[in-house]
Amino acid sequence: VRVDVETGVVAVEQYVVAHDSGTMINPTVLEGQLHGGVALGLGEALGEELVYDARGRLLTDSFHRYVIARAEKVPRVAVRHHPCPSRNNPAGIKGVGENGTMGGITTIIAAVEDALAPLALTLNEMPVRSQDLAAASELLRERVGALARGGVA
Amino acid sequence: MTELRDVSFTVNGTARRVRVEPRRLLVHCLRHDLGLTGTHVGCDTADCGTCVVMLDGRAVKSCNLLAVQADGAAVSTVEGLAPGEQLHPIQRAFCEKHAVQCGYCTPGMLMVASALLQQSPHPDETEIRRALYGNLCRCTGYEHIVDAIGYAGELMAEAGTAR
Repeated sequence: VRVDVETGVVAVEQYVVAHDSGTMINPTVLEGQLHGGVALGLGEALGEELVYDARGRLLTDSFHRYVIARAEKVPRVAVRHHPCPSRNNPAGIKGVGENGTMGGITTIIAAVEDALAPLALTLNEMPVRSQDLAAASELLRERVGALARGGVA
Repeated sequence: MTELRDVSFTVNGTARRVRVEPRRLLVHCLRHDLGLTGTHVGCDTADCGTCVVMLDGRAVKSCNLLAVQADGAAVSTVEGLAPGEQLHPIQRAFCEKHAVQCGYCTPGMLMVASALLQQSPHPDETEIRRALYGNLCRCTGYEHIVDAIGYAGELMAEAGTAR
């Protein structure tokens, strides 16, 4: 991922999924499920948030406030198959319904931590808010600036 | 009681006349008054794009227009893409590339694709994704839709399809 430290906006540049789907029946449909799952995870990692006011009223009650992933935000997803046939059924198949979702959330948030390694952030909440990332990097810049000034003096 | 207004327009090439309340949204007019339920309603707030139709050749969100605003205009909906039994190349491409999962966003995606390919017959991926900015899909992750639109451009070039 790439993070703009001024705005805190995260861009997911590359995404690879390695997946065990058991015996594959229709790889195209399967890949569609994985792409969709990753997009769901990306939305949850970076945008989707249920915000309530003090009176319990939902504020993110439409698609311009509850931000799900749009086409420009979702990268192409490289899929690597690692099929190990299931022994629980004769066909060796496994469920693949939107299987990229859970991995997507943690992978993207971990990648944001990594991209901002100098900030040593521990991101344990989703979504990651760009305003928080921007504020954290601003804080670091101030500290570095203060250190540099101190060093010169 | 609100005074009803007459609206005359062409829908998929056929002259239609409806009598509607001034507040009637175009999408509700198409779906309920004309029975063209291919155009969907996902949000009613111009966020999701599944209600996209063409109004005088431009892709518009029909949940954000009043039916009376379409008076005198030419409207085309997803039902008008394939006039006969044969699928339009864009529809074929969506089938072949598996660009449909639940299908709710599909009519809007098809209409936006149609508008894009009229303006830009061979769009690159960035252009396609930008064109889809106003259309949400919750299932596909967009990749197969993007592929299908690029492929539809090729199919239309082969077939010499003008529209």
